[in-house]
Formats: sequence, structure tokens, C-alpha cells
Amino acid sequence: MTAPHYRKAIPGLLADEFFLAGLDDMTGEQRLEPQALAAGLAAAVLGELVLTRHMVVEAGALRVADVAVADGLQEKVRLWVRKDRSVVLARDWIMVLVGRDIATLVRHRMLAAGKVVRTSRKRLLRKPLELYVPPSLSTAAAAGVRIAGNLSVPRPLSTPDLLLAGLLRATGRDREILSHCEPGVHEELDRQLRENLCPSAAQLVDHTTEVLVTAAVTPLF
Amino acid sequence: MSTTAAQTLAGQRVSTAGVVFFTASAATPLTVCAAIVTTGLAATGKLGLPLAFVIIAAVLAVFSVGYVAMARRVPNAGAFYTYVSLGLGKPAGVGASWVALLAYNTLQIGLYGAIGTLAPMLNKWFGIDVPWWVLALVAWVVVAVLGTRRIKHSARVLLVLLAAEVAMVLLYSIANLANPAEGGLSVDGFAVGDLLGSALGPLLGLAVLGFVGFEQSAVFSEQASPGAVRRATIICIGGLCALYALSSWSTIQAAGPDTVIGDAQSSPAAILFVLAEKNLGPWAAEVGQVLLVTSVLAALISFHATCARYSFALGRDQVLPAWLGRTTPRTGQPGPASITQSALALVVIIAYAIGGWDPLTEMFYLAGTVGALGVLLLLAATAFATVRFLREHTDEENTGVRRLAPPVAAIAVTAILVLVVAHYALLLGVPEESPLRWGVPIVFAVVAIGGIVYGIVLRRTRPQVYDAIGKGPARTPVGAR
Repeated sequence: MTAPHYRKAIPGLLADEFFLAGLDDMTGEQRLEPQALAAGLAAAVLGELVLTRHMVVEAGALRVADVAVADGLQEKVRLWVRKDRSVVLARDWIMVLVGRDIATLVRHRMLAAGKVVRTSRKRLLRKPLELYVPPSLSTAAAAGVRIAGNLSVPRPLSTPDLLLAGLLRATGRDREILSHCEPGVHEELDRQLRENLCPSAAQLVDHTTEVLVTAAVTPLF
Repeated sequence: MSTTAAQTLAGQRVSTAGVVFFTASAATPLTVCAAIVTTGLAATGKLGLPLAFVIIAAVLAVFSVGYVAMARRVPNAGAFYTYVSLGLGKPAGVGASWVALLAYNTLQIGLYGAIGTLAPMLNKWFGIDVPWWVLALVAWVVVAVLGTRRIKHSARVLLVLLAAEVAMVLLYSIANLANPAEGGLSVDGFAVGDLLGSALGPLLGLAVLGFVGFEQSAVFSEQASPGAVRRATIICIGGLCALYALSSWSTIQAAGPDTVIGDAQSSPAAILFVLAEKNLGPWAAEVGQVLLVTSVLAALISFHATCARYSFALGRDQVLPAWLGRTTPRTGQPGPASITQSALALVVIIAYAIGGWDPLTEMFYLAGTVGALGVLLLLAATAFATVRFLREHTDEENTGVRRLAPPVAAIAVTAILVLVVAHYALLLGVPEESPLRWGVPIVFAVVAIGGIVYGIVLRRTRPQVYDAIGKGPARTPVGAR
């Protein structure tokens, strides 16, 4: 068997970074529970459109520009939001994207871009664990290390990193990523989220929190 | 994509049946029919419980009109707490939240006492003598473990158990009615005379205790369609009312109206099973007793979730320490809040085991009646909150019924509360001069006032936190760590 050929990864897609930040950088397992991962990825894909100025969030409602996006997944989501007026609120769209299995769509995009490869790990008496891991597991930790480093100095995070940090905070993953830092980084992140995050992105983080909290406190049947 | 986004969203909604099952399993019908009916007959010495169930169901049905209407407009996590803070002001909301925490924790922890009823059966089947607290600790481990994870699969198990419980209660009732005591069937139990007198308050209070759990339906106000929540609430109240009234009435008929009170006082381990053994054979009583334990276990899990959710909502709003308001990334559950509740329960179980107090009367029944008072207090506050909230938020949907129902419910619930407090000693089953008689209502009053004062202090010292009270997840997540 030949070693898989990896293409050079294109950096900076928010959903991809979110997916990677959720991975355990020792084992490659996804540490976010499926609901949190899916909601975070849905918000991240919407965030990509916000960051490229193809979308704004006004009073909780999504508004999209009528300009095509190069990325296939972003364009797909843009068209969904553009054409379908039956749902307008960001939190509802996050849930719709979760329902349409956004996690799989993001994984496929990452596979196609060569950012991850699919492997499976045998487990005793259980179904094999299917993993999507980056060629080097240190890639998974990269965004977290960058965010933690900047917050520790403290130095302002870039807009994509700040939104990513906001989504990681919403899903509870921030504790793991900032675990080796001084306790003050949490206040610093709070401050930056409050002061530096643009209104659209801030609302996106709020709505993600709301979706996750509602899911967390509702018993499943 | 052939479906619209709205259809995708609707597909993720919880169905009416889902809401009904969850709500009904929180009310634990078999525990009510077996334990509350017996203790109610024994403690009050009156037969009016079936009628009391019907009256309370009617009051709660009226109450639920405003309750469900309000549930649609506000975020849900800390149901009573959120509603009271929006309707009666934020300090009152904090007071309600403290009362809710106390009441639900008392109810939940008290249920561990009822797990001990399994001990005689273990002795009978296997010849082993297990102290009640060992069983309680086993149940505690189950509840603590399930509390920290999403109970998707165990919830299905609980569903089956609930169906079995309801079937068993119906079977008992039919057998009871087929074998009435001498004199045949009568209206004893439903006659107004059975209810009046000093036992009125306690009987109504016990009947409320039977329905505790119905308020959980509002938890789903965002996940289910508004119609589903409304339907589920009505189905639950109606169904539970029919079941309780039938079961308690048939019990009275089978045991005989003249002798049933003496029987209940002499066999606190549930007259229901004594009758079942007589009418159907020993197997029916044994199946029922096993289901009783599973029913208590289901209630433990359900109330544990309620307690954790309250602590979680309060932690998120920073009324309690903020770490309680975090979810665990791996499971998405309010982990810290769940673990705190489990720790509290463990302390109480150990205290009762060391103190050597009786688990059934001094833990289960006492905690149940204490919790019922707290829930009544919350119902009254919420009823007034809905009156004010719905008056200020009128819309085109506000028909005459919706305008009329909340004030009626508020007056009715307050009247029941006054009756219960007036005859609280009888409900607790203690003499009039017992310190518990006024101690428990005073503790609730102190806790409520303490919460209100804390709310006012928050307004002065931490206005940012005060502003966020009752806004739930819609607020900005600043400091939500």
C-alpha cells in the first residue's frame, strides 16, 4: 500500500478550522459531541459567508448578497438561504443545516481539499471508529495554539480567529484549548468578543449558544 | 433539496407523543396511585381523594391555558423562574428560582426513600436482607451516571415502563371494580361531603403532589410546535386525572368505604398491592411492586434532570456560580449542575442512613409533602406572573378564554395554597404542635424572601447580571464561561 498523497491545504476556511479544533491532537478522535459539532459547523459555514461579506445578520435574521461564492459548499448554503424564505432566523438556519447533515458536507469538502483523510480504528467488541484526521495531527492543534498564544500575550485575534474562538466557547471546547493558559485568558477572550467581534458574527455566536443550550436542556426522545 | 427549510426544521421537532410521554413519566402514575393514595387515606382519614384529583385537574387545566400561552413567548430552560421574573419582576424571579431549587431537590432526594420498598421483596425472593440505604445508593449511582449523559436510549426504556405502569394501574382498577366490598359500588370518594372539613387542604395538597411533573411540558416550547405543547399538556392533565380518580375510587370501593382508612393506616406499604393480591393473585402484587421501584427510578431521573436544568439556567444567568451554567462538550449535558445535585442527594442519603430515620415516612412522604408546598407556591407565583405578562403582551390570539383563564387560575391556586398551609400539620402527618408544622412554610417564606433580597442586591452591585436575569439563552454570552 502506498502512502496517501496529500495536497497542500488551503488555510482559513472557518468550518474546517472548527472541525480540526474539535479533534484530540493525540488520538485524532472528535472530542465534540455530534450535536455540538454539527451546530458549530453550521454556524461556521454561515460565518464563512459573513467573513467574505456575502451575508449579514440583522436582528437575528440572515441576509445574503446576490453574488456567487467560489467555494462549492458556501455557494450551496448561500443559495439555500437566498431562495428559501420559509426560515429567516440564524438559529433556525443553524438547526436546518444540522438537519441537512452539514457535518458530512464539511467533511467531504475537507476530504476533497486533502485536509483530512479517512481512516478507521478497530475497537474491541465494537464497530470500528471512523476518523477523519489531518495528515499531521499537529495541524489539528494549530488554530487552538494560535488563539491561545495570542490571548496569552494578550494580542488582538484576527477576525476569523475571534469568530472561531467564539464558536469554540459556545460549544465548550475553549476550556480544553485554553487549558494550559493562565486563567486570565478567559477574561481576555470575553473582552475581545465583546469589543472586537462585528455585530453579524456576534449574533451568530449568540444563536449558536442558544441552539446548543436549548438542545442541552431538552430531554431527548 | 426538495424540502424547504421550514420542513427540515419541523422534522426535528418533538412530537406531541414525545412531550406526553416525558411529562407523564415525570408524574410517575404508579407511585402516586400506590403511595400517595394510601398515605393520603391514612393521614387525613377522609375518602375525598378521587374528587380532589378531579378538582385539581380542573384548576391545572385552567392554569395551563396561561402557562402554555406564556411558554410560547419566552425561552424555556428554567420554566417557573423565567416566567416569574418576566411577569412579576426580576427579584421575584430570583425568589422563585430559590424556591424551585429547594422544592425540586427535596422531591428528588425524598424519592430515594421509596426505593427501599424493594428490600422486603429481595428478602422474599432471594432470602437476603438488604438495608434500604444500600438500594438507595445503587439507585443513586444509576441516576448520577445517567444524569451526566444524554439519556436517549434509557428514555425509550422508561417509555416502556411507563406504558406497563399505566396498564398495571388500569388492570388493578378493573379488578377492584369487579370485586367490590360488601354493599356494591357507591359514590363514596366522589361525594362532596368526603372532601369538606379540615381535610380539604391536605387532600388538595396531596392531589397537587400527584400532578407535579406536568409543568415539564413547557420545557419543550421551543422544540415542539406550540400546538403540540398545548395538546400534550391537556392530554397529560386529563389522562392523569382519569387514571388517579379511577384508581383511588376503585381502591375505596374494593376495600370498602368503612374499612379502607383503617386498612391504609395498618398497611402503609400500599393498600393497592394488598387488594391486587386478593383480587388477582400474588403475581399481580409482585409485578406492581417491581414496577413501583422502576417508576420511582424514572421519577428520580426525571427530577434530577429538572434540578440540574434549574441550576444550569441559574448558573448561566450568574444568579448561581457561573460554572453551574456550563455544558460538558463531550455530552452536551449540564454536567456540573448534575454532579452538584448528585452530591447533595448522596449527603442526604448518608445522613438518613446514619441517623436511622424511616425512609418511607420520614424521607419519602415528608419530602414529598414539603416539595408539594414549594411547587404550589411556584404555581401560585407563576399564575400571577402569567396574568400580568399576558395582559402586557396582548396580541390577536388573545381570545376571551385566554384573558379570563389566568386570573381564575391565580385565585384558585392561591386558595388551595392557603388551605394547604392552614392544615399543614394534617398533611405532614405530625401533631399540631410539631416544629415542622410552621417550620416548613417559614423556611419556604424565608427562602423566597432571601431570593428577592438577593435579586435587589444584584440590581445594585452587578447590574449587568441583573439585566440578564430571565432572558435565558437569547442574551449575549459575555461571561458565560
